[in-house]
Amino acid sequence: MMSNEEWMEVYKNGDIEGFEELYSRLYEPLYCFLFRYTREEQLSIDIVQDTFERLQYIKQDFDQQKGTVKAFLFQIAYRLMINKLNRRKKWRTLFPFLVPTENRRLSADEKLTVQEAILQLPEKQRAVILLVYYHDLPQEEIAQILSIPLGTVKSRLHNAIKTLKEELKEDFDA
Amino acid sequence: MLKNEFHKEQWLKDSLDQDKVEIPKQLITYKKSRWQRFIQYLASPTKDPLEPIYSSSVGYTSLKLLPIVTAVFITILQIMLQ
Repeated sequence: MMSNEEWMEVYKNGDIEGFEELYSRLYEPLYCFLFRYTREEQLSIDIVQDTFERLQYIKQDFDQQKGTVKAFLFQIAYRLMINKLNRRKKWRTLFPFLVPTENRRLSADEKLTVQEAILQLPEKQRAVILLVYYHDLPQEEIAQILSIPLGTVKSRLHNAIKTLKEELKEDFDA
Repeated sequence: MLKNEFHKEQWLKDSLDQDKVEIPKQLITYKKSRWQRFIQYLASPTKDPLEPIYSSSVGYTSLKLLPIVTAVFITILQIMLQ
């Protein structure tokens, strides 16, 4: 069975089958990461499609010595997502009256779900915990995806676990 | 492996494992053109911006009264400006 990197080479040599194979293998993990990060279905679908569209333009930039195809695609997707979210924040600052107000407040006996707890994590910690736990990526690849130093990955993971434990602990104890 | 960090916290692992993601069917095939995606975007259902207003009885009544109140207000304004 051919690896993602071998299929990437096929695609770089002009065979569209390589692209199709990479898409069928990687759209699911990409979508799961984006959806868990944003909790927005349409936005996540759009970013997955945009990621593969971008891959078509920069496929020659992929270097097997620098990392895996999965990390390469996750890096593209993460950057696209952060750009989109930042752009949206800017628009919301300019036109705050267009933003729907979130009325939901948790009552004392209502439990915080794990999805909500993840969503409440600071953005930098959220990405690390998702990549480590759900995608089981090595430290080097996570550092490459998020463009941060190796040591920062571990410290962010510790902080994320600590915050998540604090948020969920009370529900667990109850 | 970094995932080993979670082994000490079994309850946290159990909580995280509860989060299952359903993959949308439209992702199964790659949409080749932006135009195709634009059409899909236009055809997708949108959220009604007035929903929070008419979902409550007070909001619904005020929505019905709004044209009358506006008409009265404009009439008074015109009388005062004469």
